[in-house]
This record gives sequence, structure tokens and C-alpha cells, in this order.
Amino acid sequence: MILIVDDKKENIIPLKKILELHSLDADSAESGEEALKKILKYNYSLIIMDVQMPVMDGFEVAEILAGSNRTKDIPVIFLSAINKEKKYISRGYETGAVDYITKPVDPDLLILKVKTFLKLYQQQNELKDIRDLLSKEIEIRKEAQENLEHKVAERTRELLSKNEELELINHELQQFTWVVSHDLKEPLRKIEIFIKILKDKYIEDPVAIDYIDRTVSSSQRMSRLISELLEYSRLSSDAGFEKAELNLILEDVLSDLDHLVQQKQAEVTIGDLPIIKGIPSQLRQVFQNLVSNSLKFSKPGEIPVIEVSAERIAEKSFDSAVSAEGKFCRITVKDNGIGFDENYVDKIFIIFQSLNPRNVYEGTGIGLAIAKKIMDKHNGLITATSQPGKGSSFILILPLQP
Amino acid sequence: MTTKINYILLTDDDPDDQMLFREALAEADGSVQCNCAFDGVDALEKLRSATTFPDLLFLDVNMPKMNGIDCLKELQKSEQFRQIPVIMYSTSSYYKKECLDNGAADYIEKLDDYQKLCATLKDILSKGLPFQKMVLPGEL
Repeated sequence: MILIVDDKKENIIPLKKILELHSLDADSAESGEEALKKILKYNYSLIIMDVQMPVMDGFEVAEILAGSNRTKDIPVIFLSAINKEKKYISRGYETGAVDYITKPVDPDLLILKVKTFLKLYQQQNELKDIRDLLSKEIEIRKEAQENLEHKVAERTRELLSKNEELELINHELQQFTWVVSHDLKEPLRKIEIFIKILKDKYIEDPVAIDYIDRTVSSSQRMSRLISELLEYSRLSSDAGFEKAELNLILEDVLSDLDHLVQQKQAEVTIGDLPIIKGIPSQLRQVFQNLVSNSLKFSKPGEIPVIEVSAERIAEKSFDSAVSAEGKFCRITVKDNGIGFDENYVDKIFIIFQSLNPRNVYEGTGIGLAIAKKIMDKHNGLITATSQPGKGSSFILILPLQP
Repeated sequence: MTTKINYILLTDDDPDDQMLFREALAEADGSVQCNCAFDGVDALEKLRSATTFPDLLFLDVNMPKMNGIDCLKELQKSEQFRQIPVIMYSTSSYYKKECLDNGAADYIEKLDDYQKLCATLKDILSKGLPFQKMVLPGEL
């Protein structure tokens, strides 16, 4: 809709006619005041305004329009018959008008101008809409981003506090296990010590002595179990990785087991083992458990032969191919002992599983579960192959240091 | 020159262990006097009010009220008490380093065998004072 502002009705009517001829709707106001009232009330896309009007002239109206956000973008064309001088024309432009046309008006030119300005105004509005949309979009995205950041921060905080909580609980659990194991062993120690005094000082009957020996050995076994449980629970505590020379560790293990080796007249050969990164005390425990198992489960009447060997392999898997440049090593502890049913292979590494009396593999106790846990901690693997009566091989996979 | 050990103060909250210790001590050398305290606080009180100091002090590690290690630290603060050789003992070797670092003369594991306890005490008593670390076959 176009607004025509002129104090003379006779000027308005022909103009309106011209516009209507080009199917352009037009409204009119006969004074500056009326124009302002209408502009505030309706939306116009172009104003054609006479300069010379009583009370409030066209310039004043244009200035007021320019001062309001709602109206400042509406294009204003001044139309004047009297003020044709340059100073009026420039004032007209200064007030924000888009054009200044002097009479007589060429209708064709006027229509062209009107159409052009209408088009411009429309495009301007479209641009404005797009800009508004964009800034709204940016607002939304910004909000979403902030929301997300906030949520991430919150989640991170939650995780950190959960983590702390877990560490605390873990620590408490370790303390608890330690105290319980310690207190559990105490009465056993008493049973042992007092019953030994009984045996040494007061009992002579060989049958009674046999019973006493059985009692003592049961109590010792329970005490050992508790110690091993204690060991197992302690594995969770943190210890730093350092250089671990497996050959030195094996030497240590053998000197510890020297008594048993001598007693069984075992033949133990240790191959060339690598130097890795690990926790030496824990690795030592792994080998101690494996070698002592091999000694313990030797075939009666046969000299135990135990072989520890290593080879470099390409991948972290038990059947990986040998590779001179491999990043892992495969260590095998092989014996000629009584062996075990391979059906049990998954069970022997699980704590308590082998304590089940229905399981044939008595005596392995917690030792292999400890070994498994240590291997996990070292980013390694452990398994075993065996056939009853034909010995067993325990296979370890460990990463080599870079 | 060594002097005979005449008087031992034993600190242990466990009456069974106290009894065993007394019996083993009597078996090793019947002439040695032995008094018992039940925890670190009790031991310190007994020492403070004593007219004669013990020649040797046995301190259990795990005790209520004041444990053996705290008691040992207290003793080391006193000019007088620091002179008394302290043998710390516990059911595990876990505290050994901490005890020795804090001025214990020796650390033994509580034995599960009466005969070994007798042997340990015999070894200590036969060496007399000044205190020398025990050397025992096998276990220690």
C-alpha cells in the first residue's frame, strides 16, 4: 500500500488514478498529522509526499519518520511544485527521502520510480527477515552450544567425583581385606602353636600324633589360602612400571625354590628371556607360581623337567607367528608333570574356581588367578595347554618395550 | 664384654601370646624377669613410673590404643628411653622397614612354632647386652 500525502485533494486524486491504473493500491492523507497517524496505524511500503503543507510540512513528517525504528525504512518520495531549488532538494534528501520529484510529473517516470522503490523496499524487507532469521539461528545455536558445554562440564564433574569415590571405596576395600585377612590368620596361628605344644610335650600315641599333624597341616593350608587372598587383593594397589630383566627374575625364583628343586632333583633350564617394562615383584610372583606348580605337580617317580623359553612374536595372540621385529614376546613354561584336563583351562585362572572340591585340579589355589591378574595388569595374556599324564605348558604373552 | 639380660618388658595385647612368651622365656632362661604391658600407652606408663628400666623391650605392632610403631616413635623422643633396645614383632613382615627406620633394634615375625620362639629367645639371651641382631636358621 502506498500513502499519498498532500493538503490539496485535487492533487491526490489524479495521482491515485495513475497508481490504480498500474494496479498499485494507494491511501491518502491530507495533512502531516493525518499522515503520521495513518503511518503508525498501517503498514505502507512507499510514501509520496508533498513538501508544502500547512502546520507540518513534508520535511518535518519525513524527519519524524526517520526517527522511529518502525518507519525509518519506508521510502519517501517528495513531490513539489514550488520548492524546486537545490537547497530544498538537498534538504529533502537529508531528511531521508529516496527521491525528490518536481512538478509537472511525468506519470510514466513516476510509475517507474515508484515500482523501483517498492521493489527495493520489498527486497530490503526480505533481507531484513533473513538477517533476523540468521541472528535468531545464531542465538539458538549459541544457546545450544552453551548448553552442551555446560552439560559436558557437569558430566565431567560428576565423573571426576564418581572416580574419586571409587578410588576411596577401592582403597577402603583393600584396607578391609587386609585387616580381615590379618585377623583371620591370627586364630590359625594360635591353633597351630598350641597344638604343636600339645604334640611336643604331652602326646605320645602315634595315632593321636597323626591326627594332630593333620590338624596342623589343615590349619597351615588355610593360613596359606588367606595369605594368597591377601596377595591377590594387594595386586590392585598401584606400583610403577620399571625395567624388568626376566632372566634375573627367574634366577631369583629358582633360588627361592632351590630347596624344592633339590628335593625333587628337578632339571630346570631357563632360555634367553627378554628385558621388559613391568613390575618386577609381580612378574616374579607369576614365575614363582608357575615354576612351583610344575614342581608340585610332577609325576611321581619321574624327574621333573621344566623348561622356560621365550620367542619374539608379531602380535598379541597365543598363536602369533614368530617375528624378529615383533613387539611382543611369548614365554613358555613347560613341564613333564601330571598335566590336567584342558577342559579346565578357563577355570584354573579364575579365583575360587579351583577351590571348588568338584574341580579335579586341587592345589592350584589362588596362584594362577594371581598370575592372570598380574598379566592383565601388564597388558599381557596367559593360557595353558596340557594333556593328563603328559605335562603342561603355560604360555605368557607380554609386550616388549618400545 | 657382654652383660646378662635380666629384665624384659613385653608389650602385647594378646594374652595367649603373653603366656607363650613367658613360658618360652622361662624355658630359655628361668632367671630372667618378665613384665607385661597391654598396649603402647600402658608400656609408656610402666616405663615412666619404673625404678629400673628393662634390658630389652618387646613391642607388638598391632595393638589397640597406641600401636607398636607409635609407641616406638614416642620412645625415641626420650633421651632415657632411647637407650632401651626395642624388638618389634608382628605376624607379617609388612612393617619391618618402617620399624627399623624408626629406631627398632630388630624386627621378628610372630612365630607359629613354640620351639622356634624358644630358640629365638635363647639366641637373644645367650648374646646378652649390648643387643645384637638375631641370627636364626631358616625362618629369619
